[in-house]
Amino acid sequence: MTLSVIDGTWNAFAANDISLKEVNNPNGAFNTLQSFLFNYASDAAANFWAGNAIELIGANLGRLTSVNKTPIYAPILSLNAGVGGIKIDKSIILAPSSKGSLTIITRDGGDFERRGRFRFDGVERHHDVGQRFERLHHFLVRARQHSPE
Amino acid sequence: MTARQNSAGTGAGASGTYGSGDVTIIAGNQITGNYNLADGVGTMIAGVPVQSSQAAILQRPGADAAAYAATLSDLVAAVKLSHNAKGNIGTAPDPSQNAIVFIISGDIECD
Repeated sequence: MTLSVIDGTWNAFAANDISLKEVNNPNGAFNTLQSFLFNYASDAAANFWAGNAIELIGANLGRLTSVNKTPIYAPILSLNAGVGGIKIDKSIILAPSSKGSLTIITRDGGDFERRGRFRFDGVERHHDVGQRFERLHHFLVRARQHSPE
Repeated sequence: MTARQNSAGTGAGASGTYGSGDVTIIAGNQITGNYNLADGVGTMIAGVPVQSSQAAILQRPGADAAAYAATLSDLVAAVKLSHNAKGNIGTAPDPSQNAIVFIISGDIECD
């Protein structure tokens, strides 16, 4: 499953699991003539709610060239999963925006497992408490960006 | 019912909107494929049954915007209470693809 967005918001709800290769911007991900021409709206967003688990796979992205291999998501990303937790398999970049934010919540003791890194606005920010969060009932990360649009 | 599109989502092609407009996909069980949203609101709900009366409202979003929004809201509330194990969005990676295979030329002896 891949979701593309330019200007707007994806809201996805699954009774059980969500397994997503990536959220991409078609012009940025697939433009073979000029790479990295991302035209995300500053408030483009993707919100995911799963009754059990969410996995962001980040592999087999179907690119047309060897560039743009790292998933560059919409500026606003929200993940909310149940006891199955949230698993981030590869590094993710959120497109720069003054309206950007990242929200990660696990309910009912779900784990948050991050193998990759999140990158905001060109600056890597590591979570303070390590790469694996054990049995967090409500874990929330919210990062606000302050770059000009 | 399962929503399926685009050869199990293996290609770069995507269904959806390529101009202004909303995308709404609701399935009783699984949703797979690739979907595009150019300018609007995309809604996916997997794992909740839709009644005929609800489907009639959702199929005519411009007829009664309030009823459309209320119906979507009701389905979102329902899916959050559902425990449908088939209510998935996307397909989880096949762990067997990461299996380690030993190819041994010669004999294997076990005690």
